[in-house]
Amino acid sequence: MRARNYALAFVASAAGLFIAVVAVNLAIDTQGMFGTGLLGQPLNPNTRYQRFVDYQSASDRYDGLLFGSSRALDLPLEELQRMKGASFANFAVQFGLITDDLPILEYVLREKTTKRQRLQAVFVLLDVDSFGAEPKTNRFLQTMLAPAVTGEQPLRFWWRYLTAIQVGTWRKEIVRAWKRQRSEEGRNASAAVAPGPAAQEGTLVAGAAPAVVREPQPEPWGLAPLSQRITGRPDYARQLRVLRDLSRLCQGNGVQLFVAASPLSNEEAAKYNPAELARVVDDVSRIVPVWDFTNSQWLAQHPELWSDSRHFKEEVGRLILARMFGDAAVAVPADFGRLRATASR
Amino acid sequence: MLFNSPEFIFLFLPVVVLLHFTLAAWSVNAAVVATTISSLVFYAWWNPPFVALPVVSILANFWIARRMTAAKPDAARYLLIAGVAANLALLCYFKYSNFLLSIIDGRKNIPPNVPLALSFTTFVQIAFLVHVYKRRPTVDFSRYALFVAFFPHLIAGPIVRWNSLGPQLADRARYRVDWNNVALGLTIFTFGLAKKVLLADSLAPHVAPVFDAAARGEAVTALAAWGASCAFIVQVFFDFSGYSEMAVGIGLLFNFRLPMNFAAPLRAPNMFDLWRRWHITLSRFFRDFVYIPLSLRHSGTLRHAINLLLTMVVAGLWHGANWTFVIWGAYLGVVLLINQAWRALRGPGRPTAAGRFLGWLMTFIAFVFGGAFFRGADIGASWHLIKAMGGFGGTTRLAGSALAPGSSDLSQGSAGFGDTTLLADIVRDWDLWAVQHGYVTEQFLRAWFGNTWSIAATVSTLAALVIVLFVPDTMEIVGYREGEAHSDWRRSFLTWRITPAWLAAMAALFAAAFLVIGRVNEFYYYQF
Repeated sequence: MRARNYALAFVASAAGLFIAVVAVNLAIDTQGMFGTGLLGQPLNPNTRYQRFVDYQSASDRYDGLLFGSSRALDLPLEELQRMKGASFANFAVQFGLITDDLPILEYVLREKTTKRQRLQAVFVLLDVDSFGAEPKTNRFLQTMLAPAVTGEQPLRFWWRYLTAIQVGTWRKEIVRAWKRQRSEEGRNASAAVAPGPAAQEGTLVAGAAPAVVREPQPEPWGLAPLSQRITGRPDYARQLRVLRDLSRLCQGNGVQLFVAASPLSNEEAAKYNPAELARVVDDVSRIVPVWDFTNSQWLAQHPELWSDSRHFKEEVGRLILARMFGDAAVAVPADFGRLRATASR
Repeated sequence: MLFNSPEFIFLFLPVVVLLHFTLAAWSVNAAVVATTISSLVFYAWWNPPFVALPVVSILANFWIARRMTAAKPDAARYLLIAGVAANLALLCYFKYSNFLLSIIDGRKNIPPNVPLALSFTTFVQIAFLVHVYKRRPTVDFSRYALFVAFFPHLIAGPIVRWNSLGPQLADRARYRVDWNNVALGLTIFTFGLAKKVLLADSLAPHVAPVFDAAARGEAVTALAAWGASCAFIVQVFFDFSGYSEMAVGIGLLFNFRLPMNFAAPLRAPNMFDLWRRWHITLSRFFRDFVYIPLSLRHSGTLRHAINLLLTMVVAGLWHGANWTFVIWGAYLGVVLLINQAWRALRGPGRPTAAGRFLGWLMTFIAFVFGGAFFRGADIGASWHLIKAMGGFGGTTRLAGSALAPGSSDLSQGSAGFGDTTLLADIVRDWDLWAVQHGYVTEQFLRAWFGNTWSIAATVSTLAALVIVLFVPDTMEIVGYREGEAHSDWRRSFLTWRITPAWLAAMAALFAAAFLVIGRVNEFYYYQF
């Protein structure tokens, strides 16, 4: 074999491997960054980036910001906008912590100043249970903030998404797409046979019911058990400082800041030391007035108001806003939410 | 930018190599300038403002060299002293000022933020100034700038000498593609990459928990201490020799032959031999610029011993500004003196096979023992680990049902919050699997391994050790001998040739390494 052929064949194979990885990333678009998504909506979208892109597409329209974790997705945004008379951009992201919020607020304030516009209000829904946990921001492909926010070189940002080898996620996406296709084929085949009404009902149940075509269950997230997390809170002091910075930034720019501590389900609250949860609310209230929804007897007696152990339903979200902003049309239970503001602020 | 990053391999390197040869076909000088600029871009990728440092350093050293070539001997001597002192002052300022201040005012030694490559470029340029002083060669600035800044050796060596690389840079024939060198370079690069990412990086997570526990003063068993120290030495070997091989491989792509830096040192039968084969270019630097000048001034057995000890202390200090490195250097100096005394006692003649094995064993154990100082966070941590090696590392607390799935510290992985790596999974799985299938008891694991070592760590370290000791090293396989320390280290089997079989093997090795370097920390969080 000639040296030239050896070298060129080697380079070609390496380049082929590289191109294959880029092609797979573009095709599957695991984090929903390229908008290709040949296998449908990704399971692990980078919601931080998507929220930012959504905001940028109509930034002039917004004069309010909603921050929070996936729990904040159940706050009715239209109600919030109606009550505060501002148009809120939604920055509620998966596993969102206060550390996600400050860089966005800084960016938006810079942008508004440049455009001679004004930001009116910021709403932060804090998760008391995960406050102080190590942030996932910028640690995973699905939690990277946009380069405009972090100051990272765009080339590096996009290069990462193009070249990442994420075999596990690719496999899950492909398996999911394959199962979905099979279930659709199954449905089509059932329809073609056209059985009697009783059998048809049975087939529909078997073919389309969640028992067969289940959405993937949430994976273990690699978190330590909550009981360990609560004692850990490795980033607690820093997150209090970040909250203070965020509060001062709002004050300095004449932005109204509303902070609420999100409710906890019985199941979730049972995993924590109540005194420690109260201490978190106390510490937060020393920095900024906070509406505390963590400890309501009324909500504790209504498990049907929870989608799962971590997420409340929209009715609860509506009650939160009604309590905070005084909507007379909604009857809010007496013990649901109280304003905490400690003088030492 | 690291050699083992996708952006280097698939973006920077191909572009720079193509640019070099495309320009060289038109003008050699243009290629030299372009590759110098590319090298500075490579440097600036780390921290753009810091690129001023090598630029100023290159300009200053070249100016001194030019003045030296034109000066009378006495003036040249003063210029040399001034040049060497300025280079060392710069190195001391960035690397040792915190350490020196901590000695003076007794404060904690804060690890310094040393500009990238400073230690290496300083030595390259000191060696250059000495060469110019002795030989008075005519040096062209553009080639000198490329000699110092050439990115393959810039960050982590090998430490190049002007008499080796300078003539190559002046040889116009080297600015044409040599496919034999390209094939060889790609092969050596791939071996180096595989060593770094497949072997060294897989050992690192086993090493850290033990050394970290020692730094916290926690219990460490004797097996864990020896195992971690051994794993660390093997890790450093694969890491550094892999990186050096990548540098040599990249050099060959440009048609330049850089000196090899490692010659299977962990197979050395004595400590002198080990130092001839470990970080060869650095050992030679200290031999030529510290030990020999000291020996020329002061001879005699006692002075010789002091000179050797002093050289090793300086070599230790070069590795880092910490007392642990000073002790490491001094310790290895003492081992070298013992080795020398034994040689004098034994007299000439080749040792027997048993003698060679014993020599290797003692050398290896002594080197592994030194790893406690090299890797230890501070003297306290190193001392704790050394005590642990002797079985005095404290008592490991038996954690009730620690290996019960779902309830144990192991079952959470060792990488911490949301960061369960593949390796942590393997560590957990192997230990869990062995306990659950009754091959070992949890008590046995805790008694021998403690909370920091594991079955996977033991198996990985042993496997890596087998590769180190019995598989031919890269340079043995490919037959690359540039700057070879000596010739008594080769294994004869597994010889690389330009054949389809080797091409397939190297492509597979590259693919395996690429799958590791491109792998990201996957995190699943499905939308509710």
